[in-house]
Amino acid sequence: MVITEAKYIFKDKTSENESVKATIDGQVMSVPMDTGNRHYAEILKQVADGDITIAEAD
Amino acid sequence: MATNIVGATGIDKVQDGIIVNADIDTVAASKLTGALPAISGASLTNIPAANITGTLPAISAANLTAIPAANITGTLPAISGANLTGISSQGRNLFINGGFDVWQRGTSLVAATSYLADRWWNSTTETQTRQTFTVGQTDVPHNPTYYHRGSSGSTEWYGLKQCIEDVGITAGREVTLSYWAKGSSAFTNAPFRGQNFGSGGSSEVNAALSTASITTSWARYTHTFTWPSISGKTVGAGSFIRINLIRAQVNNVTIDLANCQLEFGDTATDFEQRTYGEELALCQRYYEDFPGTIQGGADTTGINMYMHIPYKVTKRVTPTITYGTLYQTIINSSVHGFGVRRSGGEAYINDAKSDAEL
Repeated sequence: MVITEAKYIFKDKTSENESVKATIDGQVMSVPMDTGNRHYAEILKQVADGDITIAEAD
Repeated sequence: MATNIVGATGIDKVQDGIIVNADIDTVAASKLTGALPAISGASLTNIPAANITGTLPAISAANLTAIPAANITGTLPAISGANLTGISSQGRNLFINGGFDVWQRGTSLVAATSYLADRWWNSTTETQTRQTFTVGQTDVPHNPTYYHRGSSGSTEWYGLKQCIEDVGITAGREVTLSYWAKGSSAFTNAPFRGQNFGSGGSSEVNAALSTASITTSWARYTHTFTWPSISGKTVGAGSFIRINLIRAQVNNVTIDLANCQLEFGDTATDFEQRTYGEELALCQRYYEDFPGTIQGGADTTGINMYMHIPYKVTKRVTPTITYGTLYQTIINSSVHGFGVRRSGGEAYINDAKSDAEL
């Protein structure tokens, strides 16, 4: 997967991260922070490998 | 010698050498000689059980009828299921969408590594399309509607695989993989199997299966093998097995595939034909699309609008949501559905898709 952008999204009415808005293979996606989700697992892998970083939520 | 005896006691009448009436108390066994006449058991009644001795002859159960259930007691012998026929075994195909009936993502995709036919991952860069069988064709039995076609590039590995949830289901068990295939040119298929132990689990275990020589005509191919035990392994969330069903080094070959089945045992049985509704529901555990537009709430400035979109089928894990246009933010995602929030206008999403694939 080619991940070109990743940014945390807050849970509604909180300042707690709920998901990651990411562009994967050219497609914008809302990726839940669930390690069983294949997109989130890949984001974590690429973060661990130092390939990408996840921007803080607004 | 007298041939007629007339008397009142004992043998009281012999006519022409035949005893026609007798009152005999005891006959010494030594006096019973010669051939006894054949007799029928029809008139034997009330024989004391103690008098039925010796070895009984073997009897057939063919004449046993109407035996009261209450009289069948004791331990029944073990029986084999080998002779049981006509018993429907639903759910024996471990593959989902093995007949390529469900195509929620579309029916054609050019040069991409991705899912297209539901549950089937195209693992190399190829062109995939849905093809329709001619009505009434007999090359592949039981009238399947569609088949999968992948067109390879020049000198590359062509791959099509399916991942099946839960590494434990098949561990240590014998299975048979079967599929119908043909190529625009003959090629060797070298399928592969893998055990993935999920997040935080043991390292994947994989191995090649036997190879198959695929021809240019439809034929069914089978591979029987036993999955390794998972004893001593650590199994994390999201474990699965995978079958790289087509795995071939080819050069501009078009590969057609139909009616794929993975089942327990050493025999490839007839392809299990589930209804479209059943197959779609099974697929929707992993992927569900929402064609068109979903919008809710008043188009009013200054307030937050929310809408919740439930899934038809509970997902394997909380899925990724993709979309065409979104106003404004995906919230409250779960395996049951997701929400859309917009500040200062109606909540809106179109062409949404949820992806919980392995």
